[in-house]
Amino acid sequence: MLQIQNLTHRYPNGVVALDDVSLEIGAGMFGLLGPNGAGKSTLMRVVATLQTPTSGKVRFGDIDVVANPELLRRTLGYLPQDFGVYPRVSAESMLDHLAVLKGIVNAKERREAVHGLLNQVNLWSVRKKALSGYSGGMRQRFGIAQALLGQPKLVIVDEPTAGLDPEERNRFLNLLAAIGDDVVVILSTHIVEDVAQLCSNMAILAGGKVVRQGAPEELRQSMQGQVWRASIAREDLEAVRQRYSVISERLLGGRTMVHVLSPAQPSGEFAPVEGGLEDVYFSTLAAARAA
Amino acid sequence: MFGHVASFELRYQLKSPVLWITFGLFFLLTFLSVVISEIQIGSGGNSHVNGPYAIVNTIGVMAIFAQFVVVAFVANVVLRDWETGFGPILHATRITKFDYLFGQFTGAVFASIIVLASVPLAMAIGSFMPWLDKETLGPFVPWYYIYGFLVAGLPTLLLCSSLFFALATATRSMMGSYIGLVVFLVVYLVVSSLFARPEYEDLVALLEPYGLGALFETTKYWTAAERNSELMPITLQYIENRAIWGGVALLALTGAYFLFSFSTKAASKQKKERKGAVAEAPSPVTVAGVTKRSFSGGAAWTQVLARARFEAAYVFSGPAFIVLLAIGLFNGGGAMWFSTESVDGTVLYPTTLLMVQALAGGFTLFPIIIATYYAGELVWRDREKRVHDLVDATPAPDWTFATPKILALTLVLAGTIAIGVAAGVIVQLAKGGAPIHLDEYLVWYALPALIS
Ligand SMILES: Nc1ncnc2c1ncn2[C@@H]1O[C@H](COP(=O)(O)OP(=O)(O)OP(=O)(O)O)[C@@H](O)[C@H]1O
Ligand SMILES: [Mg+2]
Repeated sequence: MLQIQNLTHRYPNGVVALDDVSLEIGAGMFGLLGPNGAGKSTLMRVVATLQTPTSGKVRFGDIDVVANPELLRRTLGYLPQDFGVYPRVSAESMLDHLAVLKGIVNAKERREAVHGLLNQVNLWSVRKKALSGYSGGMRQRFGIAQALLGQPKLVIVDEPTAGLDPEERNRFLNLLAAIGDDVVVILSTHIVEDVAQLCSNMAILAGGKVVRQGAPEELRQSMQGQVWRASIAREDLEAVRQRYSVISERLLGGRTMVHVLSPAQPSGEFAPVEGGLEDVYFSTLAAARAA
Repeated sequence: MFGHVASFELRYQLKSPVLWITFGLFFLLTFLSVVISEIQIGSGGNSHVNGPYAIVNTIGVMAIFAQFVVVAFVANVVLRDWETGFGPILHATRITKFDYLFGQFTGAVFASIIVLASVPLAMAIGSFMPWLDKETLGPFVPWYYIYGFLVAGLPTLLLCSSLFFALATATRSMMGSYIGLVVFLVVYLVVSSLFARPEYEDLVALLEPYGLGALFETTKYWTAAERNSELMPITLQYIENRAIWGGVALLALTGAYFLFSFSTKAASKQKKERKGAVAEAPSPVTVAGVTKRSFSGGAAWTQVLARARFEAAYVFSGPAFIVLLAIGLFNGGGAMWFSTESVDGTVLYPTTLLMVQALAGGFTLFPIIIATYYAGELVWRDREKRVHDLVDATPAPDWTFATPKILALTLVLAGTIAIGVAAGVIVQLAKGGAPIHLDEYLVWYALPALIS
């Protein structure tokens, strides 16, 4: 449904944030993973028509997004990574305003849509309060609500779960999962687990390039039998790093738990582990860095 | 959609304290000018305070002052979405650029209309005050107020809002828009004083941006009786003048439309390739605690000075400072400029003492208003802009927060007064002929004002 072809974006200061990115994204949830500065937000802003790319094509259905941004905006829901709000305006009236801008002109339908979303993101009881007085997570939930207004066919949410407490994060993930099978949802995140739980497809972005893409489950399967772990003392860490290709290191009870990538058992102290999506992520990044 | 955006904008502005504060200020000023004969706006002469001449004149003059408010409204429209970061959410909806820009613009224009409406309202209410001398009053005719608003007030608002809407779109800065307004006014004052000769009268009346010259042209030889009973007619010259400036306004709005874009552009392809994150090698690792830190008294003083500079810079670049200073300079500068013309028509030398008198009358209030405003502002700003969490968590002792604010305020006050003095010197230089005594400014104006 969404086709991104050879997309390159260079900022006026010379930074190449997207470097020849091509992606095919079908209906359902699509996860974008990548370290800070990888170009996730840039990609999302370009697809959301807020930035014109240096070169490349973006098509959604039969809409040429770069040439006809206004056509895409009719079916778009977008949550920026961070946004501020006007002082003295309540969530309800801001949402109502946005609903009109998104083309819900019938007052009754609009009220239903706004009230429904306020309930779904659990802001009903504070709907009359000024947005500027909201906590970070509450504001984020307002952002989510506005992105889902007007039944968009393309939903782009940039780090939607940042700042949400665990309960609200679950509520949001359920909300996203329920928006419908014919909708394209792109979400960026740093939380690998979100992608594992939610997305039918994903891509890993690093340094402006797509370094890995596929279905999370398949990517995970492709690593089976190659990930090994061992618990080692701090002073041995450097030696292990030298000898093996370490995917991740994590402190556990004063010792370091390392995961390494290897076709066969590296040595006696290593035990096989079932590779998770996180191992896929870290090994991909390590490989991208080495390249 | 257009109507909705305009009404949302108007409702938003109606909640803004700026609107109601300026409404109150304009109401009060006008009201006082009606009920106290010593206070005058424009030149009422000996005509009725509620006669057509005085009404149209007052509205025309107050509309010129109202520009400072109008700029705040229209620039806010342009800058708000940009500065708060709410813009991307709006720009990703299906609203068209036209509806978005001009809907908001229309809302802001209505907000300025409300502010200026305080002027005829205050004149009408003022004229009913029981203690007024019945000699100075004519009958209450509502049409005079409406007429005055339509011919002398509204056109100025529309012109000014279009011009500065465009300027704000181009500069993306409140400061830039205000500087534009001040430049516009200065050019206007200078040009009109250069051409203040009978042979240029028609030309000035035709080209003057506010159309007041053309409007009052016919009234020049009117008797007091005529001024109290007749409205100035709409002449061909007035229509031509309005058509010219209406064209300028439309041009500005068109320019704003083309300047503005929902999507930002990427760099051109030719630009030199530079890879972002990859290029630089990481700096050598610093272990926490290696940077030297000091918590002594000397360090505290460094912090105080650093913060005083920070606070003062904040005030000097703030829109409120610029608005208040601009109004003050407009008022004080006018007072100084005309102080050389005495009541009986003789021209006086622009001596320093004359300037000091004019400054004291027309400008003194403004440094005080500015200082009061910022006294509150500096205390609350950190809290509002959410930086106080960052600042409070630094290990600087508490007194290093209060002292710099006081220092900064003193600095601001002194700066404002110095700007007033500079304006005085400029007036003296422009008029020429009298020695400039900086010491007299200091002793007679700057010091007393600062101490008070
Ligand atoms: N407005 C801008 N002007 C110049 N460079 C920018 C701009 N925005 C982003 N960049 C650069 O583009 C690159 C990609 O940034 P982007 O915001 O897309 O990353 P990201 O993957 O969203 O990171 P994060 O996880 O931190 O949100 C970075 O190197 C960043 O410095
Ligand atoms: Mg980002």
